[in-house]
Amino acid sequence: MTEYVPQAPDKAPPEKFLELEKKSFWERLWKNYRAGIVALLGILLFFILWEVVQTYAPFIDPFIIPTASDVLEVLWQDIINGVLPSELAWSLRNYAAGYLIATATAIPIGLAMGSIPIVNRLLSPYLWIGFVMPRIAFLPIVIIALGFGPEAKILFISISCFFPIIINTIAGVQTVSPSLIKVGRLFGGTRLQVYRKIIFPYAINFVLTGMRIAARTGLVVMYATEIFGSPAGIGAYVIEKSDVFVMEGAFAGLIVIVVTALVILTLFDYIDGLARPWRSEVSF
Amino acid sequence: MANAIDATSISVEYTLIRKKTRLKALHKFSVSVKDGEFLVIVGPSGCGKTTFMNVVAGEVTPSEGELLIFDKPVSGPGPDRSVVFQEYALLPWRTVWDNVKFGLEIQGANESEYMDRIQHFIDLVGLTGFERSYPHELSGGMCQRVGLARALATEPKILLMDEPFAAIDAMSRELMQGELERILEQTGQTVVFITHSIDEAITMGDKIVVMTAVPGRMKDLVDVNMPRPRYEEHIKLLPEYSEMREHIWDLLRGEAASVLRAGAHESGG
Repeated sequence: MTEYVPQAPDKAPPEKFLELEKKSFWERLWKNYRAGIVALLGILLFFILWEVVQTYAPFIDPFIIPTASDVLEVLWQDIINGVLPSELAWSLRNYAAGYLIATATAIPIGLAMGSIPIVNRLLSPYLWIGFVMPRIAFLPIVIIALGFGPEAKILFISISCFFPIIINTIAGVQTVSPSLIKVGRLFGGTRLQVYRKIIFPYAINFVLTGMRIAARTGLVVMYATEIFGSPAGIGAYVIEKSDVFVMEGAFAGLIVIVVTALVILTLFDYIDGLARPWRSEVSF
Repeated sequence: MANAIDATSISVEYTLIRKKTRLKALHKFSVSVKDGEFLVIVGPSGCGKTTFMNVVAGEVTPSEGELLIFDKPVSGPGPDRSVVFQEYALLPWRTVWDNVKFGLEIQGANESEYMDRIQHFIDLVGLTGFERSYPHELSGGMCQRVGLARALATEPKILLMDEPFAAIDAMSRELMQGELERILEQTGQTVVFITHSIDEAITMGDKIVVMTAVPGRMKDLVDVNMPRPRYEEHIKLLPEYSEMREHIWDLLRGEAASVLRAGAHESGG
């Protein structure tokens, strides 16, 4: 009969954490930025194809769809002469203002609605009516009231960003696992402590998700509000150019919009990753 | 010396709103646990084991009967008791260290004064080196070690464990049973331990309460007079072990079958 020796389980053996292998610069570049490199190559390929098809396909009217090189040339010129940067800056100022207003109002109201049933009962009809309403239909009225300046645009952007944030905040507060709340209570936590140490950190996940959706929604609405007689902004730039049939300019404006959106959303993913280290993935 | 837990004729009823009835989960249940004793409760599913634990934890108020903890009536959760949960219930946004300190933090302790204590319990459950890991990076067995360290860190007098090893794989489970016994040798808590496993009950307990199907009553109280520490012995090879196992299973067989039949009846009709 062999003797039973109690094992010391899971004692972290140092050799379990191996040192990372040394890799050459190119290997590391490829490993870390593979997705980005492939995406850039894909975009480059798209522009080359565009150029080739436009040049050699007789059925495409160059008046409606210009060549890629013409578009890029206009893009470059309007960037260095400062037109596109200033239009974009005007748009992004409205966007940032609207987004901040939405965040500052939606999170506290959402937390209150999620945790106090009477507040939820009272406000949720307005919330859902506002959410399902095609709000952009009210743009002409709001423009009459507030004029063509940034105010109407900021109002619309903030309202559109408000809904995804508040709805996710409420959901976050309401879906905390009951066993986690039980942990807080059984260790003798007060209501406030349970709220601060369990419900709120849990809800942050959902708040961040809502903020990400809002970032996207806000960009779409920012562009939409600039289509109706706006004095400035990247949306107005596109409309102006296509009104006078300078299609190169319209395409250049669209490229700026898409790139801006990509940059903003990537930035959000990055911030999200920093804010939630416990979700960090393991790399193989 | 005072008993750690004195439960006298405890009954608990729940209102089932959907079925418009009241369910009696526990019926005139009495048990007393001496200080430092290891009480195991076994019984068929839904027999009120967890209900009793919730009563001891101060989460559920009995509709009848009296519960004394060290001669004082219970009026809610308190620092003299800690719970280890079946599903670990760790906070996913906290590291191992921060999870272990959670109870102390809730009780208003200053972290800097308790650094040594937190480290001590992390070491005790064998998680040295994993202080900065997040729960999603750990295995089930390791997560439950964190749960155990968190419960021990407040230095409670009573440890309540609700099927703590049920979600852990069979091998880690055997190891954890030995680990728990070794840890309790050092810390000396009174334990109330719920399980479905008769083997686990005999391996761990000083005293085993066998319960009936719902409404839960005590069917038998079995004293386990086997030598400790048991992790150093092959107690499963002792003749008493198999006798006791058979005895408890005989008690439970009818109860478990009645639960199965009731379940079949319910889903059938």
